[in-house]
Parts: sequence; structure tokens; C-alpha cells
Amino acid sequence: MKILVIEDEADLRNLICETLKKDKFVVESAEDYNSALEKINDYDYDCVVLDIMLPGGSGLDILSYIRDEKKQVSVLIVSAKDSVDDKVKGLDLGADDYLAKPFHLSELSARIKSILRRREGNTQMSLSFGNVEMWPDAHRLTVKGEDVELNKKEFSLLYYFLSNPERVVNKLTLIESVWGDNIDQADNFDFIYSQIKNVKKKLKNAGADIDIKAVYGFGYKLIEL
Amino acid sequence: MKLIQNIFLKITVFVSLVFVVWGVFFYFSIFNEVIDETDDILKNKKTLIIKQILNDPEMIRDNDGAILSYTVTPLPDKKGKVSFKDKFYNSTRYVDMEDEDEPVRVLETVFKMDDGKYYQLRLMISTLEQEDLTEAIVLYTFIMYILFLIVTFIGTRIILKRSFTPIYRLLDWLNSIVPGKAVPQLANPTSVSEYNELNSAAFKMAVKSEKAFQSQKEFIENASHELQTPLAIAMGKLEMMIEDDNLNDIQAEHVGEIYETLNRTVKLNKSLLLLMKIDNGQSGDMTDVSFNALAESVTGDLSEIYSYKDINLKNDYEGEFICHCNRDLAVILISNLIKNAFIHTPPEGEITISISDKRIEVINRDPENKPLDRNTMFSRFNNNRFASNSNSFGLGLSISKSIADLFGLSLEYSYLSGFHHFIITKKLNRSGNSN
Repeated sequence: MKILVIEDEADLRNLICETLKKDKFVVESAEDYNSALEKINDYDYDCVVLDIMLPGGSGLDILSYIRDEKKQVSVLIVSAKDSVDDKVKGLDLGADDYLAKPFHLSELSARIKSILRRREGNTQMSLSFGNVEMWPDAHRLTVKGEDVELNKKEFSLLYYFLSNPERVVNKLTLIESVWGDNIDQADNFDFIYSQIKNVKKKLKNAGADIDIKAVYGFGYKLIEL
Repeated sequence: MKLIQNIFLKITVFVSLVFVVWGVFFYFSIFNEVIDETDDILKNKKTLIIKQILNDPEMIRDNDGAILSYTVTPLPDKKGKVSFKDKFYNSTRYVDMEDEDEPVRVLETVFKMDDGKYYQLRLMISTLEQEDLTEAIVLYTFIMYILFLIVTFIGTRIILKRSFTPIYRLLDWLNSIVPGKAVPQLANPTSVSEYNELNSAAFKMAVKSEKAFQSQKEFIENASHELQTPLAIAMGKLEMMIEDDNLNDIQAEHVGEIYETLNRTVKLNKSLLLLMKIDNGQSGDMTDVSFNALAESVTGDLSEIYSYKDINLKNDYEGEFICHCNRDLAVILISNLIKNAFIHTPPEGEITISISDKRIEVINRDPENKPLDRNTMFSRFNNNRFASNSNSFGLGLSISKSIADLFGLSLEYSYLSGFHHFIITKKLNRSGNSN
């Protein structure tokens, strides 16, 4: 899978590239409007991570260009402008998803994986790690080929971990991924903790060779035993 | 009190007083004039009568006319002490015909006959007519007074109203200015130069403050937006850092703390941007939103999170509260209120959410039995007890209030016998949701 990162801020661009490389993607980057257009014309990508405010032009113009040329490429908009207008405009122009800055890197890779999965014909694509396989759209989970029942919240949590295997995921990121943006109280930590305990138990009982490990003071990490 | 009423009242009081003073003065002037006139008649008569008596001593006798009567009485000898000065005074006289006393004006004087004897002449003239005259004067003065007042009232009212029309037009225009929106056209034609100056001054000021507002808004917006990228970088670097296996537990904990602090900054920044958006009247897509469904989903989530508190949640849905508004903002509005209730209700406490088609009420008991400070609870960065949580900035209620205002809803707080009540009602005039 090949991804083009279009972002003018060097630090952020490097971070995004680095984190995506860890996910085994082939990553290229562009820092302004013109070089981005050149790369899109010259090469084929599976996904474009697109900043809206770019030197030399608007990311939205790049998006319309991509859609006009009917390029079969997924687009994730990453914008500092957290305005509804931009989001609506971006999605109207055919972006696959929208992520407002600042975002968690784990959230970014989860979104990109989700976008790629949703691309034509890929909706049945599963996430797998160790002997655990998950079909997010069918809400199905198997361990060693056997179905395992998880409730909705547990499923969302495990989905997030499977999207970011071997990566430390922050507690707050987990809370946001499960509850959305509006419920962000410290009380949630206890809830997340007990949910993770349940997931761990269910995985262990099913004989999974993966486990969720606590990273002291920060969050959790999905590891292969 | 309106300016017109104010001026009108002052003019009315002033004119009434002036008229009263003038009326009294007018009455007494006329009255004195009449008495003067009477006294002049008496003097003339006196001269006439004394002349007659001097010519013909036979005439020394009383005369009892209907209008004018006189008596002549000889005075005992009192040489040197006699005053020849005329003396006027009011008195009464008994009239046989009508069997009553009638008012008279009296002139008393003394004259000396040729034989050296002194006589006192007492002339009386009836002042019945004079009384009639006085009455007539009072009556007409009074009628005129009333007429004058009425005319003055109506006149001043009309004049004031006409003169102040431009002021009221200007006021309407000023009221129509909404911060963040273009300054509307000012059509207020008038020939009065002060009004014209006022118009142009007001217009200039509106344009200026609109510009200042815009630039300040843009500044805050840009500052908040510009913060997003550095924050994203800092958070990303920390996420990278925590992946480093060489970190020991203490370092990892520090990274975690920094990450959480940054996250709070991100939330604060987002809240500010949200407030900005609401204050700008950007409400996004409007649809008919059922608050019942929102409340249900929010309480569902919160009940799960706070299940350890074992809160007794009562849903009292009498009707469906539907508001034409933006769904995302409606979620924030209602979830802030319900979240507060969950956070601040002690374990095994009770929360009641009652919804009818006209109002939503979120009720919970206060563990400390103290009402919140109504004056500051909706203000930003308010450090009340509701904001004591380190994860909160005291913006929640303020955001809810701003959203309610934006949607033309009213959000009120009341404290009844130990219970906090947060009440959302529909305002009759829903002008706030035009966009």
C-alpha cells in the first residue's frame, strides 16, 4: 500500500510519515501544492493524507483535481481548520474521511486502515494479529477460527488495538475512540480499565496468543505473546 | 421612561405650574382693577354729593338707593383730630327686599360744613355685580386653562414625536447590528443637522467596531488554529517517544503526564474554537432534532461510565422536545448538562430528566446542599464547584448557554430544596436561529 502525505509543516509531515512507515506502508511526501500535484500525476497511490492549507494553493483544489481525474485513490483530509464548513466541503468533494488537527497518531493510522478497508471490494477485509481476526463491518471476531462474543464497547476497544498493533495507545485516545469527543471525563479511566480487563479475559479464555499490556502512566499496548 | 414621555411630562408639569401662577396673578389683577374702578366711582359720587350738600344743607339726609346709598352723620367736635382722608373697605348691607345681606364697598370720609360742623359721609355701593364678574373671570380662566393644557399636550406630543422619529429610527438600526455580521444600511433621512451628524457618527462607529470585532475574532481564530499544528507535533512526538523501549517507568509516566496536559490544552483550544463558532452564529446544518433521543443516548453512555456510582436515574418523558437546530451542538448542549449531573451526584444519588414538548429539566440533588452562584455559573472560566474537576475549565455550562442562545432556547438554573434544576425552554421569539 502506497500513501502520499501532503503537509507543509515539516515536523508533522515527518511524524506522519514515520508512524505510517511503522505500519508497513510505503510512504512519500509532498510539502506544497505544486509538488503534490506533480506526484499525484506521476505516481499511483492508494491513499492521500491531505492538509487543506498549503503553500501555493488549497488542499480542496487538489481533492477536486483527484476526483476530476477519477483517480481511484482514497483521501483523508487532515486540517487545522476545525470548521464544519471545511469538513462538509471536503466530504462533498469526495474525501473519504476528515481528521481535525491535532490528532493522535494512533487515530490517524486507524482511520487510514479503515479507509483502505472500505475501498471498493475491500469491505470484507479483516484485521488480524496473532491468531485473532476481526471483521469490523460485520462486527465479528474469531480466535483460532472460533467466534468470540464481545459487547459493543469491548469490540470498539479491541478494534482500536488491532488497528494499532504493537503500538502504545493512550488512554485518552481510547476514550475518544469509544465514546466520541463529548464525553471526556477522568472517571472514564476506570471504565476503560474494567472494559480492557474484560477483553483480556475473553481473549485469554478463547486461547488467543495476543494480550493487552498496560504501559504505566500512559496507556496500553497490544502485544503478541 | 421614554424620552418623549420624559420631555412631555416635564413640559406638562412646567406649563401647568406656569398656568396656575399666571391664573392666580390674572385673577388678582382683574380683581384689583375692578375694586379700583369701584373706588373711583365712589370718589366721584362723594365729590358730587358733598358739593350738593354744601350748596344745599337740606340735602343732609340719608339716601337709600338700590345700588348706591349713603348716610350722613354729624360728628362730635374734635378739632384738630379729624382726618379728612378717604377710607375704603368691604362690608355688607342688609337688603329688605331680598331679606339678606349683600356685599358692599364702603367709602367713609369727613367733610366740614360752612357752619364749622363736621359730618361723616358713608357711601356704600353694591358689589354683587363685581362678584358675578369675578366668578365669570374664574370660570373662563379655568376653561381657558384646561383648553390651553389640552392644546399644549397634543401639540407637544405631535411635535416631539415628529422631532424624535430619526432618533428612534437610529435606535432601531443600532439594535439591528449583530456583532460578526455586516453593518446594515442606515436609511434615516432628516433635515436636522445634529441628527445627520449623529447618523454618520453612529454609522462610522458601527463600521469601526465591526472591523475591530472581525480582526479580533480572526486573531483568536488564527491563534487557535495555528496552535493546532504545534500541538499535533508535540503530541505525535510523545506518542513516538513512548514507543521507545529504552524508557523506564518513571520516564514513561512523565511522558504520559505531559501527553495528558497537552490533551487538556487541545480540549481547551477546541472549546474556544467552538465558542467562537457559536458566538459567530455559525450553527452549521439545521435539522429537526429530538432531544429525547439525544438525552437517551447520552444517559445510556453516562450510566455505563458511572455504573459504579449506582445512580438512580429517572426518565420522565411526557412529550417529545423537538428543536430545529444543529445536531452536533445539540448533543454538546444536552450532554454537558447531564454529564454535570452525573459527576456531581454522590453515589446512590438520584437524577431526574424530565422532558415535555416545551421544556427539558435535568434535576439532581446537591451533596453539599448549596445553590450555585447564579451570577457566575454561565460565565467563562468560572471557578465554581462544578468546575473544580481538574479536567474541566468551567466552560461546559458557558458553552451550553451559548448554544441555547444560538438556538433561541432559554437555559435557566434554579435551586429548589436541595436540588439543582437546569431547565431548557423554548423562547417565544426564536430570532436567534435564522442562520
